[in-house]
Amino acid sequence: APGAQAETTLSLVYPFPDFLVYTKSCKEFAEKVNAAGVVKIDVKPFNSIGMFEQAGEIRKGTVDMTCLPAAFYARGLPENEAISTSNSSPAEVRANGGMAIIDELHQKYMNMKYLGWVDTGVKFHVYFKDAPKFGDDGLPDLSDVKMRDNPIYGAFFRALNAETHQMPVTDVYSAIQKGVVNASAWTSIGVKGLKWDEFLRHRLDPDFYQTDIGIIMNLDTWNSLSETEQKALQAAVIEHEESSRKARMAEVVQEKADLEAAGMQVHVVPNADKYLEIALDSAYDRMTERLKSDDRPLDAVEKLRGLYIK
Amino acid sequence: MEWYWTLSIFFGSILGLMIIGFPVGVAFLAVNIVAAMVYFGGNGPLLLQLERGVGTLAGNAFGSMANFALVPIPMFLLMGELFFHTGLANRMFNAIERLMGRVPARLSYVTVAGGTAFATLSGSSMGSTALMGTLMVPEMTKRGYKKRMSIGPILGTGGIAMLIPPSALAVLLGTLAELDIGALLIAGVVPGLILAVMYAILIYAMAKLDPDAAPPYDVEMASWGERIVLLLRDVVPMISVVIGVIILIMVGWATPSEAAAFGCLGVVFLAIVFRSLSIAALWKSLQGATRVTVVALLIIFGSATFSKTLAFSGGSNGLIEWVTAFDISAYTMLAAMFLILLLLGMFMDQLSMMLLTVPIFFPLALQYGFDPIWFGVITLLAMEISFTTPPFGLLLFVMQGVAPPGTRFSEICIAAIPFMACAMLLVLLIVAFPEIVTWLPSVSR
Amino acid sequence: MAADFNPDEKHGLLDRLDAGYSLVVRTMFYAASLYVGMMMVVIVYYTSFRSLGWDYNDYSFTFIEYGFIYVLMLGCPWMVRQRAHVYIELVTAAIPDRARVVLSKAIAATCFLVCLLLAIYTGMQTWQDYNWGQYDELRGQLDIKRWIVIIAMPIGFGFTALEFLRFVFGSSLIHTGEMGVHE
Ligand code: NA
Ligand code: NA
Repeated sequence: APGAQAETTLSLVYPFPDFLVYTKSCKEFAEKVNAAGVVKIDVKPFNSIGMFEQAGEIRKGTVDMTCLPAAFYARGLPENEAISTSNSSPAEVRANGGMAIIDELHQKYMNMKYLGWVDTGVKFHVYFKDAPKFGDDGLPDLSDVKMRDNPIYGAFFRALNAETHQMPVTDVYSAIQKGVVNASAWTSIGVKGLKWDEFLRHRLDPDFYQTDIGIIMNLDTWNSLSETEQKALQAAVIEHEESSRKARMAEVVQEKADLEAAGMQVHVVPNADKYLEIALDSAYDRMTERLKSDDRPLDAVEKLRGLYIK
Repeated sequence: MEWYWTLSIFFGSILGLMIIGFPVGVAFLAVNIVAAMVYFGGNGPLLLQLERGVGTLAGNAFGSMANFALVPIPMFLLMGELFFHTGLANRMFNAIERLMGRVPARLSYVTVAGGTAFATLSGSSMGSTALMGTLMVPEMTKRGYKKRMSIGPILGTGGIAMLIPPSALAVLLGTLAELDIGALLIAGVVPGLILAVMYAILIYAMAKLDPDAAPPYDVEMASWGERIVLLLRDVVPMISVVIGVIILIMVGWATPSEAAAFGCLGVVFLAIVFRSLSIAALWKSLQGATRVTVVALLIIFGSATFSKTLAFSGGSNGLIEWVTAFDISAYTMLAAMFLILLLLGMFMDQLSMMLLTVPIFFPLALQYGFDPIWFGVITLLAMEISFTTPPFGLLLFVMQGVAPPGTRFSEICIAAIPFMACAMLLVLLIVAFPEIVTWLPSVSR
Repeated sequence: MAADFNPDEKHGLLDRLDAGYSLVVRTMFYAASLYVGMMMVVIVYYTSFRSLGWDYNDYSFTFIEYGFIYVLMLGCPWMVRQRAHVYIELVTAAIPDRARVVLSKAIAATCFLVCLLLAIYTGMQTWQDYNWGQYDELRGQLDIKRWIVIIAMPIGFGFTALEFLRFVFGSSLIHTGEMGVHE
């Protein structure tokens, strides 16, 4: 009951600075759980554990929970690409059993419970300094383009023959300004926050993939909870899947409108179907390759593609 | 445990260990092991807590240390060592001396200019302090300069560098605080120039008040013909290495972090031209650069992992939230935030400080009606001052690491004070006359 | 520097062992120095190739980033021997010689313990990373296992611990007490 004293306290970390919407959402989730009063979540401040170190620490049990994008441990669990590249909603993959497979893999290989998939509904775009050109095949001609690399979409752009370059996010602003790189992909929200729109004035449509924040938990901690506690936590995650999706989708509409009002040019890929197909193939090819190199069974690959892609 | 006990125990033990003579990096690590055990270790037997706690520390160290942002430290050190061991530095400083004639304390002015140039390029106060400390302090000590005339200007220049574009730290602050980055960069120019003038006046006054601090010695006055030869042969080529590096950044060949490596290449090239390059000089330069890099990296290892443990403990958030919860006047709040930055700066690198304070300070500043760009410039200054405030700023330790043997730590602290006072004065000026910051961005719109 | 290692003057087994050990520690520092030089070469190489639009090795960036851990861990022990790490001689310069010997050895012993603990438990973390097949997730596309980097920590801290131990049992002290006395 609301206001009741919870017995169990779970520690939670998050990867992004406090000003980002994903952090606000994660804290909102913790507040909802605390308000319900069945279990208590103790939110640890930003930078308590490095962002790419969090998955390992959850697996070990240093902290109990985190709100982490699947891409942040996708090398350890290659099937996570199914989440990053999905075009479905959490409700849909819950209903069709896709999320149960992902949860099973988390338990089997990462000693983690995958509670749910929040902050969905935001997709990726490529932003360019100069207007993008298109080839005869109706795909973007990226021969003059130097992109900032990223673990999520790097493989996709290399499949489109773009040059990709690694650099720390702190260097990107001046790198774009000076033309060290002249394109970068980012989500539909957040470009304004990074000020990249000062130099990147052209956006490529359609958008692709989808942002995700997984609420994940150490499996031993999960198993130590009572049934009531498990149910309460799971219910809170499912509620947050819905409410955060609505909130993010509203923000996408708002920021797109703001950027276009500020003069962002939109260019549409002529052969959009092929473009999106390459986006998916490159990710699933990489998933398969990684599983093979780790001697892991491939039976989940096709199943996940069927369940996470509409 | 309440956050203030946590903080007092952490800071108290680190300070205590440093004062009795523990290596600075190890003092951080010693406290960190205990703290990591308590906070990351969870429950269970002591050995299990140690395993988890220190294991987490290893992971956090991996995340913080395998970081490209550290590149300026070894690269600018290498550039300085190459300058030094190939004799090119000596050549240039001799020439500048002769060009400047009998201006008292001329090397101190050269130090301010050189230090600003390097720190601006590298965006790393630590790297440029180490470089100028290696390059200039022994040279000036040899000529009878007192330590405060050599060490002081070096410690002071970081403040100018983070205000003058390109400043990596300013870009980062702009990103984290969602400021107009272009405006923030431009806003730093006027305060940066004022600070440079203040340093020049300070050096002039210090040399006037105590002529022995920078003893005059006879230099042969050069004829105009000789001066032109000196300038073209011994000064222009060396400076053009620095200018070349700036050009590489401007045309988009290299990012500021990468550009330092081209500086090293430029010095090697010059040394070949002047026929002063030898395998011995190269090897000595590499060892010298590595020596200081290792010393600086151990301190960074200690403080970077410590700031994560501190964040996890809730200690740093507790302090910030406590101070910011008071219902006080705008200027008192500004002073309180300034003091917190100074306090945190004793133990943390600037990036960690920013990540910790920006999310709380900037919304608060807006609530109090502060201009965000103006507040951003003050934040930058506070962070640089905290880096160098006696008795415990990380830059002071770096200086201690590169200063000639026999340099007392107290001398370094005393040398820093007048220059930090200038920076404080600048902060007061900016508070009294916000136009110093806001004017240039407003006309360049 | 040669004073630390002069095989001609030492004939006992322990002396030989110590000489061999010193050679290892010094060679580690030389390796760190070479690594710093390589960092410069690699930055110039990949930056130029990128600007010219040529392909460059994907591991260039990672070579540099990992370098900070390798260089620190390779160079740290020898820097202890050289008394190069930063410490403050405030108390140690003020107290009498006898007390300084005791304090200095106590500090060296504590430093030994700190580094030993770090060596043991970063070693266990390395072992866990190895067993779990923990990847460097930030550089996921490069397929690098994290133990390849973390393993530098137990080695570096292990040798650093031994170097502090020399100051506990050896005749020389970390603290000279000279700073602030002789200038
Ligand atoms: Na600057
Ligand atoms: Na300080």
